[in-house]
Amino acid sequence: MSGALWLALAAAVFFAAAILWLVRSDRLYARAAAWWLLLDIAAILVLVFHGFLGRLSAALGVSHPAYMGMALLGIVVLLKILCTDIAHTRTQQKLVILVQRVAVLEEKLRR
Amino acid sequence: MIQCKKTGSPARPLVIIPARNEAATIADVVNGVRSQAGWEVVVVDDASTDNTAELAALSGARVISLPFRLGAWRAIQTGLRYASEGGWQVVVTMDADGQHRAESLEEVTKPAARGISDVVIGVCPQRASGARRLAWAFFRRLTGLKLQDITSGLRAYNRDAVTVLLSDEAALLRYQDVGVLLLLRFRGLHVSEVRVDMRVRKDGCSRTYSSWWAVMKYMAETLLIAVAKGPGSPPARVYTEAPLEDRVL
Repeated sequence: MSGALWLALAAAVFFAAAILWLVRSDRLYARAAAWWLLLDIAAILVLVFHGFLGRLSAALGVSHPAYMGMALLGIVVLLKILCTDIAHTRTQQKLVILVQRVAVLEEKLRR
Repeated sequence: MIQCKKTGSPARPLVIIPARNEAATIADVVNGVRSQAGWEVVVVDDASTDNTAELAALSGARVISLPFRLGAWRAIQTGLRYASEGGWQVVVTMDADGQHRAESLEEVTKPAARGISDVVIGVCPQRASGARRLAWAFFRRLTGLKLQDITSGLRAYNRDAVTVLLSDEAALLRYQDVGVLLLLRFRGLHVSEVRVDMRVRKDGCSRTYSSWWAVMKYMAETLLIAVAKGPGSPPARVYTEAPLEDRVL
């Protein structure tokens, strides 16, 4: 493997360690961490078996495997952001309902 | 409070007034409703920074104070939640800026109270500017809604409508117009309009359309909802949206 690949692999391993640290220090909850770890493991696998990316890009007619990797990464990150927004929407929905209920309850308690 | 003998629920409608920084008008609005109709009034204070809540309470309204700003629709929803828990059969929503007349409450409420319609909207299309009428026409075309005035805040809801408007999906809406009307249509509720007289807003500006940025946000969100939920929604049960009374003002 080239120096660049080793560097990318080290970054991916560091990223996995950072995710675990975030969970350990209660800054990231497990479900979100699982997503990121999955993505990171996929990146590590692609780096280790980089020949697969070359074959895939050749099959799809992409001139450079690196472009293929970037495109795949972009798609996955976009999907992850979309999932985050969906989760955020659900949280927002629950928060609104909760705030409304608390406000009504407060009014009752004041009576 | 007068209560129904059979159900134990309040016989008179509940008036819900969402308010944010409406100290200039809230007392007059609450007093107007209480003296004209004698109905119970609940003011939902949307985290005002002035003394709207105190003035409303002094005028005899029950006040629900939101801990932070949720916006007009979600403030109305808070009032609907209060009404649902209190067992009200009919609720009326009106603006706190003095646009809506207490005299209109009776005629807006009547069709909902009599079971003719699930939702009754008090409309006054003449109040709208040319740009707003154009926007209404655009959204009507996009969604198939046949209402004359899709933004009026003067509305009466029966219990079925309140239940629909307290569903989880209604909590995702920010404005009470297109999204709410489409949700009501989706659930097959009957919506109708009654022409009413409205005053010119005392402070002269709308909260929803307070700046160009606010207008753009409103248009983008409403357009998205209209495109996503407007076409192809299931046919309504008996959705006619025909004006019940077409009085000349």
